[in-house]
Amino acid sequence: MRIEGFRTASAAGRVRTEATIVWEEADRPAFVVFFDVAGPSGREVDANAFVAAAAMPAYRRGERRIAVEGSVCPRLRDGIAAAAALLGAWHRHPGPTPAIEPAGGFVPPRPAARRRAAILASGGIDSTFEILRNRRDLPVDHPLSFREAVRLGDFIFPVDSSPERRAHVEARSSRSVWAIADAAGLERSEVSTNAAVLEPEAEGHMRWTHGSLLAAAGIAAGRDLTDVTISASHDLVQGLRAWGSHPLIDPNFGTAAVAVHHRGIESSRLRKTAAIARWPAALASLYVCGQGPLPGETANCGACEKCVRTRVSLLVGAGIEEPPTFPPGRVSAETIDAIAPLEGFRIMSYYWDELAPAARDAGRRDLAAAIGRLIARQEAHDRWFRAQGWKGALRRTDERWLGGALRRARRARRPR
Amino acid sequence: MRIGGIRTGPGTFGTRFAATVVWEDSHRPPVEIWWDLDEDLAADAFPDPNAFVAAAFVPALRHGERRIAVEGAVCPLLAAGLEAVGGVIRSWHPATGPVPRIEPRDAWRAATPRAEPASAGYLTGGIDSLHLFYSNREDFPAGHPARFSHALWIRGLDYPGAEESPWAVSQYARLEIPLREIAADVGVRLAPITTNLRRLDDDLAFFAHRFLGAALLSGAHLLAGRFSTVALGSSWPGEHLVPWGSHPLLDPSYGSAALAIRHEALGLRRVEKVARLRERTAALARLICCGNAPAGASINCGRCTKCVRTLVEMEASGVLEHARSFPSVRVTAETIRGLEFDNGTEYFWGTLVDPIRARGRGDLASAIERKIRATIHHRQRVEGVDWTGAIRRFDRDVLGGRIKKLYRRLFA
Repeated sequence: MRIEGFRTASAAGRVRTEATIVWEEADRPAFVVFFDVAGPSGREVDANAFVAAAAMPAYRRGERRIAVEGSVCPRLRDGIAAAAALLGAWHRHPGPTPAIEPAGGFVPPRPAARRRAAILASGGIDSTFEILRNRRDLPVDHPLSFREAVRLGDFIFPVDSSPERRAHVEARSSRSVWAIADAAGLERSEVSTNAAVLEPEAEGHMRWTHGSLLAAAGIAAGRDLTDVTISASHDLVQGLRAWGSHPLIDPNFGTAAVAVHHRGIESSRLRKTAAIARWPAALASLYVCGQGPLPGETANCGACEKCVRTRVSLLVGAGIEEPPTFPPGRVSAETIDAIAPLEGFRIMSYYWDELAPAARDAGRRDLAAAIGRLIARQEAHDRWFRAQGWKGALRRTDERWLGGALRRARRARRPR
Repeated sequence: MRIGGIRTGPGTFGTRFAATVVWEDSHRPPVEIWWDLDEDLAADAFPDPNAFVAAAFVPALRHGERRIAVEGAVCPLLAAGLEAVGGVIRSWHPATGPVPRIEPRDAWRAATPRAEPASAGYLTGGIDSLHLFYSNREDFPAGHPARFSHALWIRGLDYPGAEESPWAVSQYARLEIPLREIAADVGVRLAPITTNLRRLDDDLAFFAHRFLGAALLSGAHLLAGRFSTVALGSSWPGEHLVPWGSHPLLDPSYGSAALAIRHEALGLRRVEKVARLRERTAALARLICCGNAPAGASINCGRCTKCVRTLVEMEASGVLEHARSFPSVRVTAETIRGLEFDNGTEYFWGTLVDPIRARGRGDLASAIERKIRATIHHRQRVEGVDWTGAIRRFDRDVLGGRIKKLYRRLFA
C-alpha cells in the first residue's frame, strides 16, 4: 500500500486533508481518503492519522508494506505491530504485519505543551457515561478533564445506507452530541472521514478496524489534543470480546503526541445507563438509534433492538418509564417480543443477559420472561444461521446437492 | 482490609515509604509494606495512598476482602482501573470472590500530573527490558518527554520475607554492577527501589500469575512528582497472551490521573527482540535472565530452562558470541532433552524452531520439536484430554474403575 499525494484545503471553517491510498497487493482500486476537521483545534491532518486508519485494512488484505509520504511516529509503528499481533491471533489471520515505510523516517511528534483532553462523543450510552464520569471525577482544570467533544461525522453507517437515512442520522446525532457537549461545558469539534470505506465489510469493520478508525479520527481532530478517550463498547461484566475497538487495541493507535485511552470496561451498560438517567441534560438528548428517516423530531425510533434495550435499561435500572428522546409509550413484553433476530456476528444474549435479572429485581417478571424468549429466539436463529442441527444439515444438503431449490420453494410459499 | 499509618522515615536502603495493612475478612496477620527509595528518587517522592491501594488490591481480591479502607485520598481513575483489574482476574479465575470496594478516608481526589511530562522504564537486565530501553533510546531524541531518564530497578520481590537479609543484599550488589553498566550505556540513571510487597502474599504462583504487575508498578505512584509515564516491556507477545500477572489489560489499569503506565512491545516475539539488540553488544554481554545463579558464579546459571532458552534465542539471532554473562554458551540437543518446559513456555520454544534451523542448528530444532510434543502429550495426559483420558473417564463413570483396579493388580 502507498499513501501519497497529501493535500489540504480550507473552507467554511473546516480543514480538509486528503491522500490517495494505492493498494499494491490487494486487487482494489486507488481511493482518496479525506479527514475533514472543524473546531477549535482543526488543522492540517498529518500522516499518522492516515496510517492509523489504513493499517488494519492493509494487514487484513495482505499488503506487505505501507509506504507513506512524510514521517510516522515510532510509537504508532509499534502499536500497529501490537494490534496486528492481537487481531491476527483473535481472528486466526496468519499474514505478516505490513512494514511501515515513511519517506520522512520515524519521527516522534512532541505533545502540545499544555495537555488538552477530548472524548469521541456519539450521544449514546458509552460516551455520555464517560463525559459524566469525567466531570464527576476530575476538576475542570485537571489536564485530563475533557475540553472538547469530538463528533465523528459520516462514521456510523459508512457504506450501506441511503442518503436520506444518512442525512437524518447525522442530523439527529449532531443535535444530541452538541446538546450533551454544551451541558458538560465542552467545546465542539467534528471530524468527518470516509476512511471506513477502506474496510467496506460490516463484520470486518466491527471486528478489525473499528477502534483504529476511531483513534485515527482522534489523531486527526487536532494537534493541540494530547489525550483522546474512546468509550468501551464491551465490558468485563459480560466479558470482553475479540472486537475491533478493545482496550488492548485502541491505545495502540496513539502517537507520542496523542495518547488514546479506552475507558469504561469495568462498568456494565446497565450501570452506565442508570448513571446517565440521573443527568437530566443527557437524558433529554440521549441518542442510540441508527434507524431513519424518522418522523418529526424524534431522536430514536423506539422499536429497534437497541432502542428497546435502552428503554428497558432505563426502566429497570432507573425507573424511567417514558424517556424523553423516545416515542411516547411504555416498553412492554410485547415490545420485546417484536424484536427481530440480529444478523451475523452480533450476539443478542451479550447485550440482554444482564437485563433479565435486573427486570426481575425491578418487579417486572413479564419483561424478564420476554427477554428469555428473545434470547432463545436469537439462539435458534443463530443455529440456523450457522447451519447447526438437523435444519442446518438439510440446508447444507439443499445448497450442495439441490442448488438451493428447497430454499427457493420455501421462500415462494412464504407470505409477502 | 485497612491501610493506615502511611509514613515516611529512614529505611535500610534509603528513605522508607511505609503503611500498615490490616486484614479484615481473612485470617492473616497485619503486615507493614514499604518501599525504600534512594536519595535521588526520595527527594521529590510523596507517600501517596494510591501506591498502597494499588499494591494491596490484588492480594485483597485473592483473600476475599470486601473493602480496602485507606487513610487519605484515592484517585478515582485508579479506582476504576482496579475495578477493571478485578474484572480481568475474575474472568481468568472464576472462583475469585467479589471485587473489594475502595473506601478512601478523605475523599476521591484526582491525582495531578507533573507539569512537564517525563518518563522512566523498568529495568531487570532481561531481554524484554533491554529491548525496552534500547528502542526507547533509538525512537525518542534527547529532550523528548517519552525518552527515559531513569531505569527503575525493583528489588526484594525475589526474597519474600528476607528482603533485608545479608543474602538478599549480596544478590543486590551482584546484580547492581551489570545493571549500572547497562544504564550507563543507555544513558539513564539506575534507580533502585527496594520493596517487601510479597509479604502481602508470598505464594510464588500467585505472584507470577496475578500479582507481578502490581508488585512492580504500584510504587511508581510515589514518584508521580518525578514521572508522568512509566513503562515496562511485555512478558508475553500479543500473538500469544496468557493470564499472567504482568499483562496489557492489567498493567495500564494500575495508573492514575497523574501517572500513565505503558506495557510496551506487544508486537514482537522475544526472539525478535534479541535480534533487534544485535548491535547492543555491551548489553548482551551483561544480560540477566536467571533467578537461580549460585553466589560467586556467573550472573546466570546457564543450566536452567530460562538460561538455555535465552542462549538458544541468542544463537537463533546470531549473537551467541556476545553471551558473556553465562558460564558456558554450548547448547546441545542433549541439553534440550534434559529440560522441563514449564509454565506453558513451549510457545516460546516453538518460535525458535524455524530461526534456529535457518542458522544451521537442525539438531536443536529437532530436539525442541520433540520436547514440545512430549510436553503437550504429558499435559494432555495430566489433564485427561488425550485418548487415555477418555478411557479413564469411561472406566470411572461407566465401569466403576474396574479397568484401573485390574491394571493395578496386574502391574502394581
